[in-house]
Amino acid sequence: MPGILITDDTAFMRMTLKNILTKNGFDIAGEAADGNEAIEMYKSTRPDLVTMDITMPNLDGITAIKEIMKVDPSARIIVCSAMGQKALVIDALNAGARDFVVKPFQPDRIVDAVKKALTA
Amino acid sequence: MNCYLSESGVDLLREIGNIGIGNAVSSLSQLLNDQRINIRMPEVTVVSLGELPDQMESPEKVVAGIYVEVGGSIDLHMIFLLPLESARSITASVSGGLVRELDEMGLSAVMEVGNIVTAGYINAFAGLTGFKLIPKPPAVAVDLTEAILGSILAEVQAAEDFVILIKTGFETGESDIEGFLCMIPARDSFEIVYKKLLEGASDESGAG
Repeated sequence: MPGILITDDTAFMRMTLKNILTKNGFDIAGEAADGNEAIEMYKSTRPDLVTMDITMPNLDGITAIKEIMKVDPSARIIVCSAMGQKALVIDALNAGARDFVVKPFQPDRIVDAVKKALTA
Repeated sequence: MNCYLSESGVDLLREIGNIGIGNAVSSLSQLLNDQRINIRMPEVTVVSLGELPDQMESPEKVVAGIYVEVGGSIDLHMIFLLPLESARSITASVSGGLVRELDEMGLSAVMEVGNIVTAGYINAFAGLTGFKLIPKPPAVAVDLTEAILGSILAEVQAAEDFVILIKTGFETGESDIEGFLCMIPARDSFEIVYKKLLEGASDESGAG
C-alpha cells in the first residue's frame, strides 16, 4: 500500500503530520525534507498523495509540485504551509495542488483535506 | 529621501508592526490551542541597528533565535528570539508533551514555531500592501542574545540602518512565555512600501 509522502523541511512538522495521519489510519510512503527529495521519492514510491510544504531549502514546494505534475499529471498533492498569502495559494493551485492547508492547522483540517483529495 | 525617519514614516512602521504582530500572535495561539493566552500590549519601537542589542533586556542571556530572510516584492529580515524557558514551554505545548528538551527534534519544533509566527507577520504585511513576500527557509540557533543578533546584523548592516523592534509578551495557563520579534526592512524596500501605502490612502480618500 503506497500511502502518503510527507514533505516538510522541519523534522518536527514531519513527525507531527506522520502522527496525525497514522492515527487516522493512513500509511506513510515516505518523508522528504525538500522539493528535490519529494520528486525523487514520488518517482520511487508512487504515493497516493503528497503533502507539500512551500518554503524549503534547495527546491521550493511550488516548483516541486510542477515537476511532480510533469511526472504524473494525476498526482494528488495538498500544500501544507504557513504562507497563506493569496498570491502563493493561487500559484500552488495553478501548479496543480488540490488543496491548501495553512499552518498552524487543526489535525481535523489535514485529515479532511487528505480524505477529500483521495476520493476526488 | 528620508521618509523612513520622518514622523509619519515611524508611525507607518508602528502600524505595520501592530498588524503584523496581531497576526503572528494569533498564529501562535492557534499553535497552543489548548491553552488560553493572554497577550500583553505589544511594544513597537523603531531603533537603529546599533541600539538593538541594548534594547534587549538581557543581551547576555541565552536564547533560541530564528532568522528568516524574506524576498519577493521587497526585501526584509525577520528575527524571532525566545528565552530558553519559553522555547522549552512552547516546544512541550506544540508537541503535546512529546518534546521537552532542545535537542535536534526540539530545535526543529522551535524552528517550526518561528516559521509560523514570522509567517503570520509576513502574511499580514503582504495583505496590507498587496505585495508577494516569499521567505527563505529559517535558520535556528541557541546562543547569547548578543551573539545571535551580532551574527545576523553583520549580514544586514550594509543595507539597512533601522529595525522595527516588537517586544511581545504572552502568558499561558501553564507558564510565562515571552518572545521578541524584530523586522528589519531593506531601506529601498521601505520606501517602496511607504509609497504604496500612501498611494492607497490617497486613493481611498479620493474615492470616499
